[in-house]
Amino acid sequence: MSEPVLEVRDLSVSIGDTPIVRDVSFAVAKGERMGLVGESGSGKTLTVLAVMGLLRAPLRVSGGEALLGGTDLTKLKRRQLDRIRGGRIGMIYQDPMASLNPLHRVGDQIGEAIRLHTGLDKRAARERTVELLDEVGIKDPASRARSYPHELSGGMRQRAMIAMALGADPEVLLCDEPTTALDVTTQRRIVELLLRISQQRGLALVMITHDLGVAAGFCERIAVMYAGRIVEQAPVDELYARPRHPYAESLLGAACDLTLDLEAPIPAIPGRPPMPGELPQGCSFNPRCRYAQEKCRGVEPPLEPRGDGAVACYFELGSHRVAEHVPVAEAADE
Amino acid sequence: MSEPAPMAEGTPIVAVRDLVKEFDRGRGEEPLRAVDGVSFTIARGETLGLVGESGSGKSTVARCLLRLTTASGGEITFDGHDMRATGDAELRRIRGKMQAVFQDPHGSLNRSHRVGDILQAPLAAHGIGDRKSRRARAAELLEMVGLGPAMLDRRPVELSGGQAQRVAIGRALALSPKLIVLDEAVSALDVSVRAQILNLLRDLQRDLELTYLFISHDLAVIRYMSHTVSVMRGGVIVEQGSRESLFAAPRHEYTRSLMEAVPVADPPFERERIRAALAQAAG
Repeated sequence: MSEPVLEVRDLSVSIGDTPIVRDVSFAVAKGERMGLVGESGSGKTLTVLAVMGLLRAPLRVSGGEALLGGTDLTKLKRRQLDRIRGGRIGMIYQDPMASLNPLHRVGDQIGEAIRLHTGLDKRAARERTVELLDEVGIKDPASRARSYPHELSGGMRQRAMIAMALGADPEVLLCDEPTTALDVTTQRRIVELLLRISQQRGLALVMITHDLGVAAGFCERIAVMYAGRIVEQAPVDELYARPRHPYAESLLGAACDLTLDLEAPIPAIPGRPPMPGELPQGCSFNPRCRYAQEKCRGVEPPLEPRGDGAVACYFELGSHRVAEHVPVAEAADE
Repeated sequence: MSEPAPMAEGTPIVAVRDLVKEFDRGRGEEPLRAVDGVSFTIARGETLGLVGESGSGKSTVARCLLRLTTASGGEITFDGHDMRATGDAELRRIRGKMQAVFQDPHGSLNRSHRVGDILQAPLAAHGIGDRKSRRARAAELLEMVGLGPAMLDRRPVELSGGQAQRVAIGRALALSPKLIVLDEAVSALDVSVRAQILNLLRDLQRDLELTYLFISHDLAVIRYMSHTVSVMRGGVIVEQGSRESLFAAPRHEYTRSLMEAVPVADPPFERERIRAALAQAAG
């Protein structure tokens, strides 16, 4: 991989002494698209909030670093961070309404963000705003710039959010479930848009999603998180064709698409993820894992390189299939 | 009011004809037609999947059927009752046979009550049983939705999204309903939990001979759950048919576009689709 733009090393987030995110490492290069995939509570959002310096007490970074071109973001003072956030590193969220001020025109808000980070004057910022709205596929951008957020559809608002994030010409864009609140057809258009701008601008992009379908066409590499850790990291084709971690395999199996076998139950994962502070002994996934063996209940397996990625499992998936058994956490109220 | 005649075998349990729902926009403005002439039937023990994007009017149809809002026109028959003509007392009785589960499980459970009380509330409201039998029924309901008796004393904040949705389903089952309206009931859940809840709903339908009106924006979930499917857009049904025929050969362009939009967990396939779409957009 070429020189990473953003490199996260052994990043941990805790509340008090309870670790919530544990030793997360990943890197994205210029123009690269990475996915951070996991279910709610897996720590994927906290990981990016930590990178952005947006954690609120009692949450805190308890270890590791997040390097943006050599600068450790986790060590910066508030004022230094303010220059970088929304500047060299941008973020878009699931709900654009939460980030857009309903009382101000969309164009004014984007213009303000541009001026804050570029020093352009008002007039130039306004021109830039219209260019950006055009770039993100908003028709008639000059008049749309005068709209209020509520006058735009969900998809348009998300496009406006993306335009705002692009205003300062960032190197990295962190996208937290950018399409989850949208209708399927709109979802597709937004994914296409993000792909296009990342290619055209050479933007490093991290997409957080729980949707393996959305990640499939968009991401080049994927890190799968479970109980606060990355349990598998791999090139996207490899992960989908041959997942190496039992959780990744289960997650792919439990997804709904138009090819589901209608006669059989969906291969759901029994039980539910552990709460932070209540992690089981050994591998965090072992109570739900259909391959779990004695060793899995001992020491937590480290994330180790395998193939073109890394996996935190003692076994080669497939090799221990003979040991298949009913998981301990059968009941839903585990 | 007299008991309606028992329904013949094969008569649909729900029949909706030319349903119209208008919302007043006030001062000389044309009313907004959220539902504009919708007709469908649901066979006993089957699931009708109602699919559409936000603003299509699908939830308004459900609200009219449940009489959470008053229809502006058309006919709604449920289990032999004319739902638009029933008085309050009868409606109360019918409501026990017609329950609903909504998207946000936590939002639909009273935060200050314990799970046991939540499950017993419908029984108490309908004056069914005494404290002891209601408590026993609550435990039974928990078991039906795959939760242990320890849950009885928990409060909603202590539950995960999946557990809370199981409790909401349990509460819907309390009065042994015939129909359950599931309005985006799995949309807020994670992949693995969603699979569990869908499996549970299919098991309950089979064991209790339930009829479902299953509303979702997610075509993959609709396909898995439904016997027949209606596709809604802009207040009208643009296509309906059996699951087999609709998914094998969608006739309406909108249905096709919805199907094509469903993401597939196949990277090379998805990449090619995005590449083609971008190439087309670039002209």
